[in-house]
Amino acid sequence: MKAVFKSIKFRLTLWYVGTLALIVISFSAALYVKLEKSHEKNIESSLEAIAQGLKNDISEAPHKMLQDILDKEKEREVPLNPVYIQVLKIGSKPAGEVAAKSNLLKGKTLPLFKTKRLAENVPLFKTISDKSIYPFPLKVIGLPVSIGTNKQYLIEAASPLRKEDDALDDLVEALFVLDPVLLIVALLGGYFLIQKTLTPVRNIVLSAKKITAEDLSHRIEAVDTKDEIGELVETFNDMISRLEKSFIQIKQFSSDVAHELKTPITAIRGMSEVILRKERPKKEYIDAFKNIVEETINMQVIIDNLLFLSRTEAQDVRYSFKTIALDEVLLEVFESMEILAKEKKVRLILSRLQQVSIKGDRNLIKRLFSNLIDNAVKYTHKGGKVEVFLERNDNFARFSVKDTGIGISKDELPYIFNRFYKADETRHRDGGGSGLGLSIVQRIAQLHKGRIDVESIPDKGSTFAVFLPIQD
Amino acid sequence: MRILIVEDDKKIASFIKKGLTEEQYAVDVCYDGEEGLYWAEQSDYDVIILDIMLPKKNGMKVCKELRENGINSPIIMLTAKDAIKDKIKGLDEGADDYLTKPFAFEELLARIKALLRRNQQYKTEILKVADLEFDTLNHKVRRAGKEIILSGKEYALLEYLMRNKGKSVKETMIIEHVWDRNFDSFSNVVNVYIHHLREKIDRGFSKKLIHTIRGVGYFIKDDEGSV
Ligand SMILES: Nc1ncnc2c1ncn2[C@@H]1O[C@H](COP(=O)(O)OP(=O)(O)OP(=O)(O)O)[C@@H](O)[C@H]1O
Ligand SMILES: [Mg+2]
Repeated sequence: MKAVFKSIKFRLTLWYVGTLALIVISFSAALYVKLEKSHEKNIESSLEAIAQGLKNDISEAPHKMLQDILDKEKEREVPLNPVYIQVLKIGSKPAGEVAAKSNLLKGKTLPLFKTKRLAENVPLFKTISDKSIYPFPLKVIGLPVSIGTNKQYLIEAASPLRKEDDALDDLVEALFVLDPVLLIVALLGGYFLIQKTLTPVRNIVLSAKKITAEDLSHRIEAVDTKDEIGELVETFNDMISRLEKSFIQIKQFSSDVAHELKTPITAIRGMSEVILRKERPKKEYIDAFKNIVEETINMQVIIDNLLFLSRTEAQDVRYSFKTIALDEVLLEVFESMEILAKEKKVRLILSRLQQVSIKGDRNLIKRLFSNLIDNAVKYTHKGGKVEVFLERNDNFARFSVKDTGIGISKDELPYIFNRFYKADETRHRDGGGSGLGLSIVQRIAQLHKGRIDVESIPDKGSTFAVFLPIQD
Repeated sequence: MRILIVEDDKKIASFIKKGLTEEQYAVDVCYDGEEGLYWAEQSDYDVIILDIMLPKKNGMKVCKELRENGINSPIIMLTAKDAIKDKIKGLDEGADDYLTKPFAFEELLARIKALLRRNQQYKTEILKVADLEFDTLNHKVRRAGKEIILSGKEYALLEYLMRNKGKSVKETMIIEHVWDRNFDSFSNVVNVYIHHLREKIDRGFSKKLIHTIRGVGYFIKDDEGSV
C-alpha cells in the first residue's frame, strides 16, 4: 500500500491535480473579486447620475417642492435595484433635518455624512449596513447642493450592493460546482495519461526482473517509439549486453584459473598417493619429490602472474617511473637468456642494440624482454635462430624478437594475448607455460603507454615488436 | 586388463600409468585427442581414461566419435571443471563415468574396477573356476585353499582367462588385453607365460584347468566337457 503512495504515478497525479486546483481556485477568486468591483463601480456611477440629476433639478427649480422633484426621480431608478433617496437640510440648524425622502424609505433615514468633509459638487461614497432598510449592505452617495446663499441641502441616494438571486451568487454557485468537476475530470485524464506514459516503464521493470546474474540472455522488449522510453530501453539493453559479456569473461576466467591450478594439484596429489601405496626404493621417492617441487613452483609462478595481472588491472599499484637505459637492461636480460638458448640448441643473436632511454620500471621492462625472448626460444626448433633488435626512432623505442620457429596460425593469432591462451600446437609440449606470458607483456607495454605488434607465418616463424614511447 | 589414458599433462598421465601398471593393468598413454581416438580404435581397451581439455580434439568429441564408430569400451572422463553441465554433457556423449580433478588415486582405481565388473557382468570381486579362487580386490589367488604367488603378468593373464572362463581366447586377444602396445607380437611370450601359469596352478592337481586348443588359443574351465 505504501508503495502506491510512493509511485511516480501517484505523485505525479497529486502534483498535477494540486497545481491545477490552485490555478482554478485563484482564477475563480480573481474573477469573483473583479466582478464584484465592477458591480460596485456600476452602482456608484448610477447613484452619482441620480444624485447629479436631482441636484440639477433642484438648482433649476429652486422654488419647487423638493418632495415633488424627488417623486419624479423614480423614473431614474437603477434598473432592477431599489434606490433609496433622501434630501437633508444642512448648513442651518438643526442640521440633518429631512427635507424629502423617497417612498421606499418609509419612516427610515439614511445615516448622515459628516458635514465637514462635504464640498460642493464632490460626491462622497460610503457603504452602510442597515438590516431594517435592506438585508444586504448598501452603497450610499452624498452630494451637497447650495441654493441661493443660505440654503444648503445634502442629497443622499443608496442602493444595495447585492440582492437575493444576484448574478454574483450565481457565479459563486457555478464555480462551486464547476471547479470540482473540472478537477475530477483533470484528475482522471491526468491519471490516464500518466498511466499510459508509464506502461512501457512497467514493462521494462517486468522484463528487467527476469534478468539475473545467472541469466543475462534476456533483453527488454523494444518499444517501437524513438522517444525517451525507447532510448532508455536501448541504453538498458546495451548495458545488459556489456554486463553479459563481462560475466562470460569472468566465468571463463575463473574456470581457466581453476583448470590451471587444478592440474598441478592433481599431479601432486596423484603422484604422492601412488608413491605411498607401497614401500619403494629411495630413487623413486627422490624423483617424486623433485616432481612435486617442480609442480609447486609452477603453481607459484601462475599465482604470481595472476596477481600481477589483477593488481595492475585494478590499478592499485603505482609505479614510479624512472629514466632507464633500455640497451643496458636488454643486454642484461640477453645474457641470462643465452644459457637457455644454448640448452635448446637455438642460436640467439643480438642483431641490433641502439642506445635509447625511456621512462619506465626496470623490473617490468626486464620481464617484458625475457618473456618475449623466452617464447621465441621455446617455440623454435633445435637449430633454429632467434634475433633480437633494439632500435631508436623519432618518438619511440622499438624492441623486437624474430624467430624461425613454429609460428602461429591465423585463427589463433587474435587470441594469443588472452590469459591462459595456448596455441593447440604448443599445448602439450614439455615446459609449456601457463599461457600468461604474453598477457603480461601486453600489460607492461600498456603501463608504459606502448603497444605490441605480431607477425607470424606457421612453420616459418614469428616477429613480436614492442613500441615504447620516449618521453622527455 | 588393458587401459588407455588420454591426458595432455605428462605428470598426471605418468602417475596414473605408474599406479595402474603396479595394479597389473597394461597401460597405454596418448597426449592428444586425435592420437587417443586412433589408439582407441586400433585396439580393444577394457577401460579408457579420457581427459576433457585436450589439444587437437577435446575429450567430448573423442568420446562422441568413439561411440559413433561403435567402440564400446567403458570411458571415464577426467575434468578440471566441476560444472554439473559438463558432467551431464560428458555422460550424454557416451561416457560411463567421470572424475573431477584433483581426485584420489584409490577412487580412480575403484571406478575402473566397477566398470570392468559391470561390463563383464561379474557381480563379485572373487572369480572362481572349480577350486581356483581369484580375489581381484586384494590380488590373492588360491587353489584348494592354498595361496599361490603370481608375478604381475601371470596375474593379469590369469585374470583375463578367468573373466572369460569357458570361452576360448585367441593369443591375439590375450596380447591385446594383457600387454600394452610396446609388446613385440612376434615373440612367444604368451606361450611362456601360459607355461608358467600351468606350473603354478595345475601342477600337482589331477584336474587340469588351463587348456590349449592348438592353433586357436587357450581357455580355462572347471570340467572336462567341451568348450
Ligand atoms: N614466438 C612464438 N612462436 C610461436 N608461438 C608463440 C610464440 N610466442 C607465443 N606463442 C603462442 O602463444 C601462446 C601464448 O604465449 P604465452 O607466452 O602467453 O604463454 P606460454 O608461453 O604458453 O606460457 P608462459 O609464457 O606463461 O610460460 C603460446 O602458448 C604459443 O602457443
Ligand atoms: Mg610465454
